[in-house]
Amino acid sequence: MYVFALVTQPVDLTLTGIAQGNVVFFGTGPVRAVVQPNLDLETELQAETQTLEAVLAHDRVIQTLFCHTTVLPLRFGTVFTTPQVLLEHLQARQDQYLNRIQTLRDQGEFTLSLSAQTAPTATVTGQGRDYFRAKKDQFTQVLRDQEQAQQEWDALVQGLHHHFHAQIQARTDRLFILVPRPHWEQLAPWLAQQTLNHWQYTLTGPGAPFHFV
Amino acid sequence: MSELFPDRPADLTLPRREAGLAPLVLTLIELIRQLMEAQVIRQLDAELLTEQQIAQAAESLQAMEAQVLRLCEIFEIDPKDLNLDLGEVGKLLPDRGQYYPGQQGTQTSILELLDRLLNTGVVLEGEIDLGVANLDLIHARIFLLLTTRNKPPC
Repeated sequence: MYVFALVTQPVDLTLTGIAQGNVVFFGTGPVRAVVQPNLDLETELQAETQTLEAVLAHDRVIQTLFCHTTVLPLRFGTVFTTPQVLLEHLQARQDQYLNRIQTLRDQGEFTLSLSAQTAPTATVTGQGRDYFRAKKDQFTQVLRDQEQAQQEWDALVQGLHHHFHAQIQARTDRLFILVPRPHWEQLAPWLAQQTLNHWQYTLTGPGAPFHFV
Repeated sequence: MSELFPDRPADLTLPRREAGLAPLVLTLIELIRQLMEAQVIRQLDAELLTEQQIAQAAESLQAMEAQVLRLCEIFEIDPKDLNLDLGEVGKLLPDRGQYYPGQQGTQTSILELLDRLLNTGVVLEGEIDLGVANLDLIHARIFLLLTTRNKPPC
């Protein structure tokens, strides 16, 4: 039994799953699983294009749910051998999942992709000692730019914590930001006002909290 | 005549698929060029070079770089592709401006490793057997000292 996500209450939605399969809510307790019964995932994933389509379908189901209720997304490929095993799992971990869903209520995940603009593009030219001096100047400039870029990054992370009470998962080139719903509209304008001279950025979201489960 | 000797540089370009090993060869040439440049800088910083030597070195290094760029143009290779990503070890060559001899680099590269090895000096010792069809034909014992010039011998 393929599981997309966990929710606390069924939603009146018609969801299309992997390979156009039906998606239903499963379980009887306070935590329900969003599942696609009778899906043989191994058969569906024999071709690379099918895998990509399946991943997209998994993501689409979760994002659609996110628009209507609080969702605890699961990894792509989460399968339980039988409905009974899934039911026992939900019962055993009911409190844990309920707590997690409660903490994610009215929170959305934004992705801030950042690309450092610190590498010089000009070829160094010059005669004699000037050529080598220019090489050193270029290195010094790169160091200075990288320090300033790091300062801007740190200030950005602090600002996000301070202004939006956001939780942040940082990667080398992106930030996953969990923002409370009242601040969603304010995030993009706030970012535009920040000093990010050494970064180009793209903001997407809000979406399901994939990186905060 | 004009067909045999076209005057436009673009006519010298080859389809990328015909470039073959050219990107790899040019990458190695660029590695050697940057390695030599690093040695010049170290000797310059140690005040071991005359003004004439510095001028000649700067001119030669820039001429080599121009030649590499010219070959890139002919083979339709993006100069940024003259590099190898070696995963956790880093890149073969640092990005522009990311390394200066004697300074702490901001990204690891094989160029930096080789430069530091040359500056410190390294001894390679070993044996090589060459042969075909399970026949040992050539036996070589190697004792190789690699170090930058103008350093006192060990």
